[in-house]
Amino acid sequence: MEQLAIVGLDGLVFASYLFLVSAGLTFIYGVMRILNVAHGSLYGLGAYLGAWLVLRLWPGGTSGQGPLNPALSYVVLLLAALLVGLTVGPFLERVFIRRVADRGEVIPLILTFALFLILDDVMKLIWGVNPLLADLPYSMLGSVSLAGVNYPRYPFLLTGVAALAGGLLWLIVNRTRFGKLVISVIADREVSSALGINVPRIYTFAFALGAVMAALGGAFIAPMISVVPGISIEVIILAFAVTTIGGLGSVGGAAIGALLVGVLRAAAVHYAPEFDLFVIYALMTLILLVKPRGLFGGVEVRRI
Amino acid sequence: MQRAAQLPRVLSLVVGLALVWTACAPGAPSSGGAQKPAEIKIAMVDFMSGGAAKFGTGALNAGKMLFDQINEQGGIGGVKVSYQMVDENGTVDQVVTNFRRLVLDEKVDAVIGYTSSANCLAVAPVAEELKKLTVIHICGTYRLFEEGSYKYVIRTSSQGVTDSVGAAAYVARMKPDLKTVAGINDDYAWGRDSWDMFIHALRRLKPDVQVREELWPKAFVGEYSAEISKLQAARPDVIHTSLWGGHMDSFIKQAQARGLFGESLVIMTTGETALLTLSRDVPQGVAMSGRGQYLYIPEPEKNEMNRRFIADYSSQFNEIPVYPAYRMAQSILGLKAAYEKAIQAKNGGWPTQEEVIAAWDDLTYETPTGTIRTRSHDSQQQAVYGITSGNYDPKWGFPLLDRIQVFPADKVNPPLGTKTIQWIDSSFTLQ
Repeated sequence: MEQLAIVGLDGLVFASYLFLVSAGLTFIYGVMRILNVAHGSLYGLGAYLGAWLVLRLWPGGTSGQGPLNPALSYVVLLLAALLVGLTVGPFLERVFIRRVADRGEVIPLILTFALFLILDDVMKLIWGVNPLLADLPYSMLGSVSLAGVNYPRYPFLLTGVAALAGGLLWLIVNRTRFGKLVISVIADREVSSALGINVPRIYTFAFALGAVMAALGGAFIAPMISVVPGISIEVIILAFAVTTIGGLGSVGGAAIGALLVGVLRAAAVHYAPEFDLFVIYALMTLILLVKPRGLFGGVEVRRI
Repeated sequence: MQRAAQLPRVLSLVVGLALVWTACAPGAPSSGGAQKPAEIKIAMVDFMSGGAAKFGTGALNAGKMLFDQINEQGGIGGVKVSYQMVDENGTVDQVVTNFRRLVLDEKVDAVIGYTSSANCLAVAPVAEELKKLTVIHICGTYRLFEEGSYKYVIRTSSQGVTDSVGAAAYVARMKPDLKTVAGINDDYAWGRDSWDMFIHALRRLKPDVQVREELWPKAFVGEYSAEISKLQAARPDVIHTSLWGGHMDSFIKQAQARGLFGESLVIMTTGETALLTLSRDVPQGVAMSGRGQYLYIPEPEKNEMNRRFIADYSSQFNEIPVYPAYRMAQSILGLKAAYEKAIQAKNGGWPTQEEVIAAWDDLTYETPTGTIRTRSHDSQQQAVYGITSGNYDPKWGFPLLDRIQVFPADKVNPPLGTKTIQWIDSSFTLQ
């Protein structure tokens, strides 16, 4: 029983991580039908900026020495995510992606792949190859004893951030005027345009929102890990798996997909560690065989 | 057409793009003449991008520094060395294509490098095909010379057996009553081989040892909550890990926050790099080495070469050298020693590439790591392990290791011509 509780806990923690990195990817696909490979870079930029700011503002490291209250480091992480999402996101959409948005799915994919490679080098140009270890927000919270093992508190914060971000995204889409416009554009772009909706602007907002989600994931995961060049690629592969399971374009699907993968992987680690790597992709294959559009991939409406 | 049907195609396109990213490089092989050349052209290959870039640049920095020093002192046999640095990051295909380019287009005299096991295994047959001296500086897979035979390939550091067997020897000494053990290693060749050699060696020393857990996290994912829970529930006496670089640092941080290092003796075969990256944040009481190496052994106060290496490197790059830098030094000083031995054998005449390679067989040379002996193209070195103490280096602030044990090269390496795992099972002993 105790072990089951630990499996659930470990699964929830990993699911929060997965949801944060895949929600934005699936949201952008849902609205714009663009599979944004550069999503991984936005995650990386969020992680780098978050970690760098925390290290800059609290140079004392885990002792939290510095002119500012260490508790503010969480706000700094949030600001870093917003800064990356709201500047780099619209920049990428306006300058690059917009030009190819109506050329099917393959050309934008190649373009975002190119952007991904470029941004990976940009991160190296800005921050070099030194790993950034900004664990102040992580260590500061300490740990609790749960079911016989020590558990750090920070991952629960991560779960909170994931739930909050997911909830906000849902509210924005379902309860705001912007959300209604988004749904209208998803349903029919041309008719929306004819009704006077500024479709390009909706796209920019939607892309920025997805970018903020990615950067948020990066910024809040950064304190748990060593931020090194190449972190973007690991994330994009996992995010693809989760969104494929949940159904591309469905944020709810991403949440369910993240939970499924998270719990399954935790169970594998505890009961069959040999299958740690295998289970994620086995689940993905199984779901693709049974439901090729993923668990929550809606039926495509004929456009023409 | 349904959109979903496009997805596999779209994903395969991503993979395809990565493959197209390679190029072809025609040209003719250069021949090694006995005329004294204007320069010796060397290419150094290591990671300049990707997750291993921190350590790759460390190795390349050491190479740059040593070649500059050699040139200041007149070069090798009176000939200056010109060097270039090449990124090892990319697919295996790309790395091989780049190797061909260096040999055929750039016409280098030797290539030094290759950290990744996959890359050194792929490059070695091509080195043979192109007949080009290739010096492997870090790649630690025992398969390189046990599953292949190469005339043009030389490895100047010892293979993974040194760190794995050394780790088993160390924990057996530190915890004479150890009964249970667990492992957490990357799920690919490096992690699998490391654990195999470690557990085989430990069973030789402690036949009754029980394996509580074998964990295989997906390589390079930095989230280890489930693995750490499992290790804490299992409470083994000793935990072995060969996780390395950035994801090892992530593991240390998460395990430290949960007190894992206080519950079990964790031994990290590549932990030394954390002295550089985590510095003062490395937890106390962790057993570690840098693939069997620690920068303060041989002791700098007693070993002038190591003292100078650390002093020069740290003043030039403002950080301490860890094992990748040392391994690069082994390759360069080995190359220099082989050239000098070959020149001497020809009474001052300039040696051909084949003569340099012949000189390298059964060559003993001094390096900042200590004495290296290369025989039959492979090298052996001692294994050094220690435990992070509460004392810190006064200048650089990283925790110093204490309870250091040094295992001589012939104790932690199989004799010439024997297969590693067979040797461990049949004759490895600390006596």
